Amino acid sequence: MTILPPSGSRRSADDPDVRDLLAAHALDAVDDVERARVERLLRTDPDAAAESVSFAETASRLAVAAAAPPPAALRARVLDEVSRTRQAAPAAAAGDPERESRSASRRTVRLLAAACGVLLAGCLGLGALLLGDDDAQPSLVASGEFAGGTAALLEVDGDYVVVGEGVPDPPSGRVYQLWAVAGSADPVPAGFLEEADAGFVGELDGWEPGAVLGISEEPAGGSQQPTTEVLAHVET
Amino acid sequence: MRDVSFLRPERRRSREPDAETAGDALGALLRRVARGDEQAFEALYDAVCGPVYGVVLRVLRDPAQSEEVTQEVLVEVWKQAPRYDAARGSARGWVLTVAHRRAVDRVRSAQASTDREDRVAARDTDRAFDVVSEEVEHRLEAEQVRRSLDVLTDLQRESVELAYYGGYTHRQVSEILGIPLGTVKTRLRDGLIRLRDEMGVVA
Repeated sequence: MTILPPSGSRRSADDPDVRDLLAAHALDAVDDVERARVERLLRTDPDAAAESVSFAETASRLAVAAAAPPPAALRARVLDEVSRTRQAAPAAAAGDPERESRSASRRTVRLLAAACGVLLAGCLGLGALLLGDDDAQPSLVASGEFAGGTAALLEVDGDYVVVGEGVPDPPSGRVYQLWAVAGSADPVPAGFLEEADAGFVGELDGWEPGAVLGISEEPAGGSQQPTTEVLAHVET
Repeated sequence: MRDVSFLRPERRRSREPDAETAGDALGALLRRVARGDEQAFEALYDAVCGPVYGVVLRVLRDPAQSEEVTQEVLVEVWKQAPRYDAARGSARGWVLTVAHRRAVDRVRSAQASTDREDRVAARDTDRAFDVVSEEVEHRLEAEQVRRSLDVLTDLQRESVELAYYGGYTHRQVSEILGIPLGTVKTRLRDGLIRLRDEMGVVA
């Protein structure tokens, strides 16, 4: 099997290309995948984050230039809805250890990194991969064709990760959702394939060995049941 | 291909002091809103509803949908106020970022089912600044922003307007204008840098 980098302009985060998207990002002129790339950069690069804030402030002035009075009745409707709406809990401050453990766990991050490493390992072929200095060593459980590319199900330290390579970006506002199909039961949501540096990757949640892995394209946020044709069936 | 006129020396205008003061007042309001203060929310509503509705309307064009999205945006502001982080920009910038994003999301989810006539919309944006209502309460600042837009080259302004007011992705802008993607990125970037400097925006 040949593993190719995904089509399109997606490159790794240390690629300066992503910086060229900062202005487009501030204008909301990026697709979901590009937005994810930029936001990853912003989390790790204070200079890029500062520039992004200044661009967003600039863009918001363009909104001010478009100001127009809304219908008068809107005010009462908004205030009424607000009076019936619970506010979100404050986010823990940055650097707060509680936040670290609550947001994507380190383990998940490492798994995803490991899976990306798999992709970047290139021509080795998914069945015979070594991750170099990482302690986690994935093994290939199954693979199948998916959207013109390949979806592979890997086991890493008892967790299951799905990797898609050579797969096109889903259309804007759509996501790749994973499904666990046990026997003749209805598909159960099992996570999402998310854009990674060199393809798509997702941690399986609620999938047990022996079940079939399905992947379909769904509206952002996902669905309870597949609403489109299931694009991949990875049999295990 | 770079816009050579970008290399002209800059005319600088001093920053309008009101913008800063207004920003601080809005930040203070938003902090009260974050503590569940509905009166503060009413004042916040009055301060931002014009730009919120205006930018949503500019992107969506349909008044009924725009009203709906404006309501969503303002309720979202109420809900998310406790999570607003001043380190990531001004209160007004945050609210308007939420508004623009919502409008664009609405356009793009609608696009998935019904294709918009891109080229018609592209022509419409030529008139983008002629339709700003006279009765806007942000008239002075709006006027200042429009003057700032004059420092952009026509090509930069066209790309910035298509992206921001048209709600198009840079890929779509490149298709509409028939120019390479890299050129669009450069125009958006140079255009925003120029606007930022002209408006005296500090990060």
